[in-house]
Amino acid sequence: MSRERNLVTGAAAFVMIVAGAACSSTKDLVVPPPPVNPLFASYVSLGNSITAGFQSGGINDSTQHQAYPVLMAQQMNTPFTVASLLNPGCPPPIDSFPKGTRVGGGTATTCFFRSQVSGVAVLNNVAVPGAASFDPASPIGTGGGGPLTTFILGGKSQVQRALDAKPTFVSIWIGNNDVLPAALSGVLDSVPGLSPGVTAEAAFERNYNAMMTGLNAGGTIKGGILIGVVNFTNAPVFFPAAALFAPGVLPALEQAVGASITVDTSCTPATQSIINFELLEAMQAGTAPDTIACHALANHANGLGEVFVLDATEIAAVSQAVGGYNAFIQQTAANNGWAFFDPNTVLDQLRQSGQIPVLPDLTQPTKPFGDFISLDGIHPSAAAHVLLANLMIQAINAQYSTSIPTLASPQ
Amino acid sequence: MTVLRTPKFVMLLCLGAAVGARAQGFQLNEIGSCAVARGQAVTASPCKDPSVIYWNPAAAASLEGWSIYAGAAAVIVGGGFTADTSRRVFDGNVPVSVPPHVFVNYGSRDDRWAAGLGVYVPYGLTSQWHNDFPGRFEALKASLTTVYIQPNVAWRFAPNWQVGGGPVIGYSTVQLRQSLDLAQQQAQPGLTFGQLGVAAQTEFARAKLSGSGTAFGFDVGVHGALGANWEIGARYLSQLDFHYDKADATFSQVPTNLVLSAGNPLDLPPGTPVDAVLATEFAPGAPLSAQKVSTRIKHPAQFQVGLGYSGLVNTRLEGDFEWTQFSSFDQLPIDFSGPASGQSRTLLEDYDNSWSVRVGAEHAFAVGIKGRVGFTYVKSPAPDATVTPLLPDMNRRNYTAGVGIPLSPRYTLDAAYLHVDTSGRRGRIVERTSADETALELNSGFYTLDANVVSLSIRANF
Repeated sequence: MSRERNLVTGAAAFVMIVAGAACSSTKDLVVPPPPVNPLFASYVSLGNSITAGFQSGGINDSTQHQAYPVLMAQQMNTPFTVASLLNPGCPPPIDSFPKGTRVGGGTATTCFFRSQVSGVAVLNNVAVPGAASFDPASPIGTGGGGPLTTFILGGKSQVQRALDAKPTFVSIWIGNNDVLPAALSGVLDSVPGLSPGVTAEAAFERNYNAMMTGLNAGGTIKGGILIGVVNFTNAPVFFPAAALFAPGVLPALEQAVGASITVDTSCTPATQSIINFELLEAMQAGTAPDTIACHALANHANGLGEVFVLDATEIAAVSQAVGGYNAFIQQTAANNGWAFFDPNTVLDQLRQSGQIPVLPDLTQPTKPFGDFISLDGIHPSAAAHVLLANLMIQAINAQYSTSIPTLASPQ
Repeated sequence: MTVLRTPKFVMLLCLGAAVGARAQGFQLNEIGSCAVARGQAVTASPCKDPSVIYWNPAAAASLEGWSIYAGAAAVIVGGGFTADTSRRVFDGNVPVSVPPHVFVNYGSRDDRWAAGLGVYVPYGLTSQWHNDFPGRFEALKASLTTVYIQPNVAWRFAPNWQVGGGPVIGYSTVQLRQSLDLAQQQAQPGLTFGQLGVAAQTEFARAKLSGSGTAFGFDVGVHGALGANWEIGARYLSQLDFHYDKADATFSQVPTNLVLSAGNPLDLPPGTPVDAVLATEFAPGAPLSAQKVSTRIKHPAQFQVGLGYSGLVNTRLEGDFEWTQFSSFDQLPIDFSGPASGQSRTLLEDYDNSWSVRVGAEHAFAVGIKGRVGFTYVKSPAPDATVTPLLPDMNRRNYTAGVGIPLSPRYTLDAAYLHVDTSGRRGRIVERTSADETALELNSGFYTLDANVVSLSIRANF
């Protein structure tokens, strides 16, 4: 009998051992490490091309991951997803200036799709190249982003995609395209097929308020940073017309165009007009006469002196519009208790220090605009995104008494 | 710019995964309240009721005269899924199911032979989730009900030794409701809507699939005594191979409220509702029109062996080992016979064989009431890469207890309670599309599972 009881006891012990082993399995979730502050539990960035990671006239997975919101999210230690675009891009970035050749041999109309793995449910960078102030609250939009609007947002608005992420913190850099396309065209009033015009301040404020109302309706946002509009009249894509009279400049431009350029008498060494480099591309393409005029000429065809040219009055008008936008954005930030960052301060400093050159160095085809401006003469380079991210981090830390570490400056 | 002028819709559906998974983890052992109360350790020292037709067909020879055993078990399943990143908890929404059982047996007065019939549900139950569950694209609701009908004969071929068995006729019905993710659908061959920017987990349709199948098998057993106090038994239930041919697949559109932006790559006017574009895919003859689909689910074979001991006063003890051939569930063919026939495919499951250890005890009290307890440890057959919303299977610890109460000389009421306890397990909410995809890559959260079962049966002897 005792042996039988031992058998029974042994069997019971075996079962208990098995049961105990089962209890040892882990319940640990695979969770990311916590953010540096709960405020950044879910960070979403809204904006346009700069925020999306557009550089050198193109965008792809590489440039997207160099964008300042990606860098800030890394420093916040918070998960951050982007609508990763297949290389070489949509369109591929320019890899040589002024030839304009693009990565992978593509053209300005080449567009590859989203990568399959980037089809995530929650998107953190909802910014779309080409977006203006009207776009974030509208799923239809102005069309400035072309197919990228669909590729990035997939049929929703920036605000809708942002709210899908239940954001606790947002950054918004919108409004650049309310002035940039008009400024680049040289025509500040709306002219179909030529210029969308500069958005009136009242319309801009209405658009901005619609975006803010939509975001705040989600009820999850606890903080944010609003970024001011760039005064693109200081962007190196514009060169001062007065420089045409500097030694060696005109011959260099003629060499780039491959033709002799006539400088109209409207241009003098004292002129304050600025000229968009795209004028040279138009000359190369034969869509513009090989003549540079520095203000609109009466009785002259082809928009000479008007298209691609901003005179002093127009420069002042652009600056006034940007100033009005930024005053409103800063006030909106204050009303919401959010941080505000004006990028023009640092861009002006870089310009004055020569780190953003007045004229491109045509002997440097991969870095004609210096370290901080990419090959399109408009969008920040990777180095500039680091600089901008650090300055925004400082603004956020100052506003919220947080301790987001800054990034190491690029060498 | 590549412009997509004509979206060519191609359907991807996970029908087979749902159905197949049901047949795995929802193996039901709630067949007879006495057996449930004893931890299902009843192969060697069987309950004295006709449910032995299922548990060990040979033991039916020891039942004298007419006996009927009928009842049901209420199965209440709980659990949920916790997502890794958000830590959000999604509770299951499984309705209570009540699988019944009926057995009738006639045994000769000299214990030499018996004949009977059993009707029981060895596979079944339902998994169901709420509408916001991110894994609803794998399964929103799935149910499987498989009834086995088993004629049985038993024969005592030597003193204290019996054999028995009979054919099994199985009838199985399956139903699946599944959300369809627009991001996973192909806008053109080789290009998904996700690559056009549509967010993952954008529900645009729900699929409902229902079908039935019939299969045949057998159940055999042997039972004997090893001296005065020891009994031994073994039983084998064969695999039943169900073919669910000509199952019905129907689809209903779910609004996405997406709108095409200006400059969209489909070259459609700005503001065009995506739902309007998709509506044509539900028209007769289109990929999401009603059509037929077929699949095949092997209900695995089971083998169990046990050793019983009755050397303690008024007490019976038993320990069983059970093995189930779940390795037969390695893949699932999905064959559409309608507009989506081009999307027929085979899904990967890769289940392993599983086993369980069962122990149980029964003590007869002086008033005729019998008290029963038991414990079962069940090793899950699901590999780490196949823990899904359909069946978040995991190792289980079953704790059981019950009583047998004589109501009259002819009638006895058996009652049992079973609690299923688990430690939880990591799992996935997306489909595994390649054998190269590992659990580490696929699993994105933690499943919990528990269940409570209340079983009642009436036994009548004539």
